[in-house]
Amino acid sequence: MRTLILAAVCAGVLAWSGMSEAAQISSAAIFGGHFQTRAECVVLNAGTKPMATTVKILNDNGETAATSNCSGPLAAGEFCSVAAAITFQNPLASLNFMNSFSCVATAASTANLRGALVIYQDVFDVVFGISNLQPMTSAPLQ
Amino acid sequence: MTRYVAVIASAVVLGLASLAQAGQLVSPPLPTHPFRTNTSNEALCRIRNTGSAPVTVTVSLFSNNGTVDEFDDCRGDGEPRTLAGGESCVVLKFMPDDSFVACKVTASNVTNLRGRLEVDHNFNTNVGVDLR
Repeated sequence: MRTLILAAVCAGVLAWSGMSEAAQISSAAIFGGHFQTRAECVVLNAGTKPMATTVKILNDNGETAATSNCSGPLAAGEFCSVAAAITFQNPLASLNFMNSFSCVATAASTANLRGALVIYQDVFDVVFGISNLQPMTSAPLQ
Repeated sequence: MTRYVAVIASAVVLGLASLAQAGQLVSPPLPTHPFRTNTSNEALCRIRNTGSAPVTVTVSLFSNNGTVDEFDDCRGDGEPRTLAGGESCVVLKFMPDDSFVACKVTASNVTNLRGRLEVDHNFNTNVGVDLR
């Protein structure tokens, strides 16, 4: 009986550990190119319950470039985004591909949280006189 | 002792349940900004059954704003389609500007399903992410 209980406890702990989720999902640090002008991070609550969520875009130094708490709990099926203007082009970028950005989303549980970071460049349309955002690269949060 | 064993058994069952395959895959969301003036803005969700057994899939390509249906062969006669082993399907919709899109597939078992969400402009893919 003691062996049985011990085995059951071990199995339970092992299985239970699979249920626990980190409270944070992150993207890799990505660099779009020397003409990158904007980083945008989008998250989706793919679950069925509202969830308080914070989304941050970080620069190479781990400093917060932009943050949002999604104006309150993120409803089921709701999207939330935060964007950071990339105004400073790192002078070392041409050498080391620096000036990269990453995104971090935190919540009580991230099992049903999905996110992606996209880096854009502004492309000016001379005919219509407007700027458009063209994606250069992206990375999922996981 | 009986109660103790029962509690442990419950924990084991609950824990093992987490090891079962989830019935859905969801993509990370993507923004849908205009790429260029006078270009169309589409999103596609591609689902592939990498296994050998047939799988019936329900695919949802959704946005926070209105979309326009363009093509959907993940449904047959309005019903979820069964993908044979190795078969794939795609859902294509025109997207609103400056919005967000994501894709979800549900099935009895998603172990062998793979999916990808793409954002296109004039039917050229510019950014894509995998469902997980």
